[in-house]
Amino acid sequence: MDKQLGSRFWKKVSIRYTIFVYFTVSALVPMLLGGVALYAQMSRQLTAAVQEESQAVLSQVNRSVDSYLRTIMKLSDSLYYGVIKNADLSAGTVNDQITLLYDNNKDSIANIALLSKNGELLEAVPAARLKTGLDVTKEEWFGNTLERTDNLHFTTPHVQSIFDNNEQQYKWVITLTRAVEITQGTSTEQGILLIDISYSSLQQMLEDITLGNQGYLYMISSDGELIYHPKMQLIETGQMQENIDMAMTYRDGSYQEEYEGENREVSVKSVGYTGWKLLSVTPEKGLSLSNLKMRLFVAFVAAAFLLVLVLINAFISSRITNPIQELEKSVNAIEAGELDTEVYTGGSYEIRHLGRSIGDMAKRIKALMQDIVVEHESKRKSEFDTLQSQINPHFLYNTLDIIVWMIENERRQEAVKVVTALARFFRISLSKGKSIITVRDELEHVRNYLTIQQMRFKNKFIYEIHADEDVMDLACLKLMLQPLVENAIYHGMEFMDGDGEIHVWAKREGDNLWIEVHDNGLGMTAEQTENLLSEKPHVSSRRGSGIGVKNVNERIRLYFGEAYGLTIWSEPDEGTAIRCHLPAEIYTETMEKGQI
Amino acid sequence: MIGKRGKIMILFYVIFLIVLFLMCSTDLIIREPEKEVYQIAVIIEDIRDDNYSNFRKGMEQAAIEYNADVHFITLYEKLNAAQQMELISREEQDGADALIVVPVDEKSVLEAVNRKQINIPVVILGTEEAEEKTAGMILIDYREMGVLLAEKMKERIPDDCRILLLKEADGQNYMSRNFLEGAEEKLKEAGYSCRIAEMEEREGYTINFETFLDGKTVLLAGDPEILSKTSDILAGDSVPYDRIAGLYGRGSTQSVLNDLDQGLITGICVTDEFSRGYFSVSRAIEVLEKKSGQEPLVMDSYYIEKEDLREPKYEKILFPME
Repeated sequence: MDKQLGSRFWKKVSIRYTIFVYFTVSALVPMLLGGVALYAQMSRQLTAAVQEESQAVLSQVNRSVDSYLRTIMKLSDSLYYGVIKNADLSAGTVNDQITLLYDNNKDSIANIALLSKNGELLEAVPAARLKTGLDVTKEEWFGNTLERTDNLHFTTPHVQSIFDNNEQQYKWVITLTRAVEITQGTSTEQGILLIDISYSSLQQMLEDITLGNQGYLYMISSDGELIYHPKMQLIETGQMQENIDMAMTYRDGSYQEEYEGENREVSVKSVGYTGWKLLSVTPEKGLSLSNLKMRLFVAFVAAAFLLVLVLINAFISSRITNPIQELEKSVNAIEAGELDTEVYTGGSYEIRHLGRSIGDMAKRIKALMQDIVVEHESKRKSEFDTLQSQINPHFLYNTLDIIVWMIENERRQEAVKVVTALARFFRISLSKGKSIITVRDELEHVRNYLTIQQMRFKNKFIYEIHADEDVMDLACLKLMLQPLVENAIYHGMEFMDGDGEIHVWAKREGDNLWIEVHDNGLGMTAEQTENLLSEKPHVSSRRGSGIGVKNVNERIRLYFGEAYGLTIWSEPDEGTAIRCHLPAEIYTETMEKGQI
Repeated sequence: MIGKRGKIMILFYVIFLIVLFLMCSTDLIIREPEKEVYQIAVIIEDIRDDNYSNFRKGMEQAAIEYNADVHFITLYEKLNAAQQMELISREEQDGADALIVVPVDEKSVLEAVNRKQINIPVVILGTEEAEEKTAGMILIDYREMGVLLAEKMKERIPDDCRILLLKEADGQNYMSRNFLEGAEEKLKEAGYSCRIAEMEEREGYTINFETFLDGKTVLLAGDPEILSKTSDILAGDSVPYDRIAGLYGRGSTQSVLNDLDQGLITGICVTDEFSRGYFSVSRAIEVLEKKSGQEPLVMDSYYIEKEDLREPKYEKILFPME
């Protein structure tokens, strides 16, 4: 059903619309594919650019953090190798040197302390004592440091709570510890150097880093504990989450991850020595191509392109189809029978060629149609001429019967007259096959016929033929008058009581030739008169020559045109007049023209 | 080339393109969200903000994140509900976009909000969920906190101990009242003898230890200030330590935490004040931006002792990072 509807739809669709649709679709599909590919490429490039930028920022921050930690480690080295190692703590000079180094780094250092392996606080800058009852040897960092004495140990951020310094403020620190050799008098033992790095100094280094619209940066330890996060407090108290478990599995590089229903670009960089990882996070929705206005702009460009495409396609399709439409109009006119219509031959080569071909075809059709008309006319003329030339056998038999009768009754002169008239009758009937003869010959032919009929009917009628001399050489249709005269004899004279009269006259009036056959016979009613020339089947008298008046009328119109023909006047008991209207043309000129 | 219908369609299409262009390239139709600076006033029930230091840290972080300007306002007279209502009206008239209120009288503030006497968004830091959700609520069930503390006390103090419930002589706020009521009820259920002692500030707070009967007494402070002052007293020389079985209370001021660390305070109930401050501002912004924010947020309570101070979980709650 749908297929049928579709098929019906396409049948109704114009060629312009079809071309427009195909062009638009064929241009739109690659455009959309290209657009999508371009958009995807742009997004990829943007993502790559963001990743590169994140990596660059991350590298920069990493260098800063690394440099910062190295500074602290150098401080640790300076404290150990420059101050503590080989120095006698009992001399009391160590504290001054530690204080000096502390003062030089107090922006980033909260505490410096030296502890014995028993947990005794040997030195502390700024001055402090361990909290009462606190056993630092149970601290995790204390054990780790003594366990791996070659390493520097960094803790995660914590509140430093081992010192009792009478301060109401608490401090977040990252503690760096290392095992050191402590000399006290003559004895040397292992101890621990503790440096508390102010968390705020590290925080300041990281918190001002911005990554795009909604990007941020965070840092985790190798154990997955947060070192820094813009929302660290909320995450640590369980109010918010971060994808730390996944982050722990990342090596240095860029990754895409989905976390809490959000796609994010994550770049990772390891901080030297500590095993910490710096991570930058850029949510996908923060990328500029994702925002509403950017998407609308892409839609605008696509829509504008579509408009231009539609206009160009409309122009192209109209350029192609306008000549076809013009040609279609010409073909419609030809189809309607207007073969003389000038066929449109504009547009492209193919259309021009088609137009010319259709024009030639129309001319050819016209010529063929004319040929058919001519042939048809010729055929009709031939038929009429054949009919005309047929002699009613009754007429011939009766004539010959009279001649025999005359010879048997010794009426030779009359027989000669009839035979002569019959011979002339036949000679003119033949006229070398011509259809047009002179008025003279036609009048002669009808005279011979009347002569014969007058003999047959024993002078029951008289006849008179009168013609002006100027009409004698005019062209006339052969055997035109004989049916009229025959009609006057058989229908007008045969049953008349008195003497019949038949008058034939011919005259010229300007370009018109008038020949009239008039009798004083029985005449006809108006209906009979009408039937005589009508299309209704008309049966001529069997005793006539067999040629009807109607045929004469049709022959005249066939040969000379519709303007010519017969006109009949008749009144019952008054008689009948049949007038032939012909063009007044000289016979020789007509024959020279060869029109007939 | 194009029919009349086609021309009309193209005209509409061009209009559509113009609208699309205006939408994507100008601020006429789609305005870029402007980073409006919201003025938020926080009105507490006290004349001092000592108990709100962690709360303020959270509030300040939220203010930075949400681009808000937060004013912290204390009363001139403690627990004066009328004055608080006046301050609310004044702040509203002065152009505050939203209010965060720690109410002296929770019901009257809620009633004012419901009656549209306050025409700006209000976030109430209260105890009970309102029937009509006309204001943002961040709730702490202080009665439940008292019950929690009583449960823990039961596990730690001898059965023959008496409990002395310490409250301020010049009245107490709903937090202290609910907290003490919850604790007293639970302790009495457990068979403890409870007595209320009002502390009055006459040249410093004092406790009349002479009133203590024979046997052990456990002190339970209704609010952080009383707790801190009591621990100061216990640090003095004139305290009959042999008759005191412990000091309990609520609050997480630095002073209280130090006293807990020093062993002067036995145990406390705390809440995550940083988160409470953060969410009070974020809720106010959400209400202003017609997002959610009307659903009440209930904060948990925790019981901690000295040993818990360095637990990472409590460390972050009690000593929030700035």
